Amino acid sequence: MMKLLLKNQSGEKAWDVDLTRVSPSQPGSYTFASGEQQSQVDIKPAGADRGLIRLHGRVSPFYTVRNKHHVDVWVHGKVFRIEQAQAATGRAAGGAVVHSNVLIAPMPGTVLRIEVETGQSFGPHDPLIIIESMKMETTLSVPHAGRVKSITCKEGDLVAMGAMLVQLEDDQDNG
Amino acid sequence: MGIPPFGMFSKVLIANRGEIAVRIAQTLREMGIGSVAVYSTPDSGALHVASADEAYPLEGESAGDTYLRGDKIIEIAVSHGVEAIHPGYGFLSENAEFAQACADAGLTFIGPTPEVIRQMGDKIVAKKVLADAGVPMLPGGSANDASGLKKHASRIGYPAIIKAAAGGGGRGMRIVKKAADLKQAIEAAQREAGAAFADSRVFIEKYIEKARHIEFQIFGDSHGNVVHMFERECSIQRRHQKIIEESPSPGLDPALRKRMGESAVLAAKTLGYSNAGTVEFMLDANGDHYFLEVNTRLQVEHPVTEMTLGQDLVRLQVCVANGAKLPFGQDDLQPRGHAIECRIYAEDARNGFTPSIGMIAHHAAPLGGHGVRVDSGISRGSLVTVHYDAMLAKLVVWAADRPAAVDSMKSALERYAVLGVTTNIEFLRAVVGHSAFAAGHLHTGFLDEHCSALAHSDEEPPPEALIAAAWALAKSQVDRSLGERVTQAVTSPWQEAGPWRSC
Repeated sequence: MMKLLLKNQSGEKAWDVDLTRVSPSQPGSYTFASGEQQSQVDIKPAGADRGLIRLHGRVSPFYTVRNKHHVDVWVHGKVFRIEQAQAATGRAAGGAVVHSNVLIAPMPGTVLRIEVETGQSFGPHDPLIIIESMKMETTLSVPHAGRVKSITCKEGDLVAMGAMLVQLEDDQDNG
Repeated sequence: MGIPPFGMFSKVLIANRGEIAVRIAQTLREMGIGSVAVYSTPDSGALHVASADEAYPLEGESAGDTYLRGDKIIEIAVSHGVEAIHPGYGFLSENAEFAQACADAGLTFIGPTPEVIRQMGDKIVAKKVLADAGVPMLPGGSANDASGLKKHASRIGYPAIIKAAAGGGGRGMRIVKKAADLKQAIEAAQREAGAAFADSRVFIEKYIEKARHIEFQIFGDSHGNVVHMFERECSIQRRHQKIIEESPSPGLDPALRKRMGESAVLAAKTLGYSNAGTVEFMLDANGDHYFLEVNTRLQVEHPVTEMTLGQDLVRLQVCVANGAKLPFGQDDLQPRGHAIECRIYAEDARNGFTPSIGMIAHHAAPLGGHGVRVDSGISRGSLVTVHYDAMLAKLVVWAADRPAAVDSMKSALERYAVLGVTTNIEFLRAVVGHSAFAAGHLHTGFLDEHCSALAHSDEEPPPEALIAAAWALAKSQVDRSLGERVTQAVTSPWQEAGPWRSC
């Protein structure tokens, strides 16, 4: 789940945005909520910074460029400059409020240790999984707090690069 | 086109950069002629370098150190077996000394003779020569000092316009509304002209409000044949620089077109004009036209003529420079349909059209469709620097009639994505979408009258923009957190794609 507070460049307008993947079995399908509105949206990336969005049956090509303080989005023939404002949940600092909902293996390797259990809460940068690859141990973590929804690997597993290791969710108690 | 007397050139150097250098290289390739590019240090990765068969550096950054260095360019041409030089527009294209230096080095300059370039480069001389021949002129005059100019001003009345004798690109130009402002305007124009052209001479003429800018393409060969290739209307201007051009003009009827075409041919014949040129006129509300200037080069907006006549003007230039006769007479030229060009600039229309610099992150030109042409000098990763003109590309459409061409341009602009620098695409959309534009009621003050408010609209982003922004922010956030925590496999495609990559 990604919760964001976005604002236009002048800061006059802000939008509370929530983009959540529908389920792991439906890649590219999201629920988009902003204000009162909630819709199903499909995103088909055509590269790291562009793709197609399908919303209410309309398919729109989009292009993005990420700068230090803002994102420029080209869609519907216009460029919109959008900035990230304070955390929508009001708890993360420094604007780092983007949440990924899965932890994946950044390289092929062996799961050496699992440092958390299902249902357990964790803080930013807490070790979640330790993976061994090419005789080196790497500690995997995420930059935000959350709770372990499910663990999809076990110690000793040989995992491919990109394999899903842990599913994460927002920690409601902290929210 | 007939067999040229001495055989076609085997290799041509393009003394330019950006879209025009790319466009010239394409025609040379189609003609089977080798192309040679030159490039400044910041342009070493530019598209025009990749478009040519060979490329040689002009070390330096500023235009003065690179694309304006005729001596360096001729040296490169001579030492690499080049036979002719195409100057494009801007830079050395209207420099009579350079054209002469090419001839002295045994190279063919693809353009008119140095004498004609020199004559027409001095606007005071040009007006005298062509007025004597009977080309219609605005009332006005030149003088060596402010008091002489003041006398002319009191004779012709206000508003008046002061222009630089060596002028071009809107520099050294001042509109004067009343006598009290004259002295200051003369001084400002002289200063600006002196700085831009090392020639501070100015002249004054009657200023026509709500005039149309109509220019005629002319073409001559070295055998004394001259034709006009019909008009282009270039009334949509900001800071005296054109941004939208079209052909035919919605303001001309056949009789007026014929009269203006005759004036253009009269100018060309008087000058013994060879190669491509443009005779510019002002057209007032009464349907009277007045000479402005002759541009002794290929114009930026030449594609609209190419599309309505089905001709490649660069190919004609090369053939005529090579000694061929024009392959058509005046009566053979019959324009078809309607063409419009929009100049895509890296500039901020919401902030006084100030230039925008940066790296092109995306350049997705509108692809496909009938009659859409994009002449571009950029690609993803291109640098837009402070050193050169901010024009990135030209979007040209052709359709059977003007309403269809306007619709096609609207649609093409809507599909044209550029990110990395701020562009004028949204502004162009607003202009082309304006009812006064659709009605064809064009004049050089059009943007001031209709579009100053358009430049300040701040539209609410559609949900798709918020979704795309959230997607991009989430991806880069995840990419960064992986990058911080994982010291291995930093080039993993998963970091590139992000953990919630979905297809």
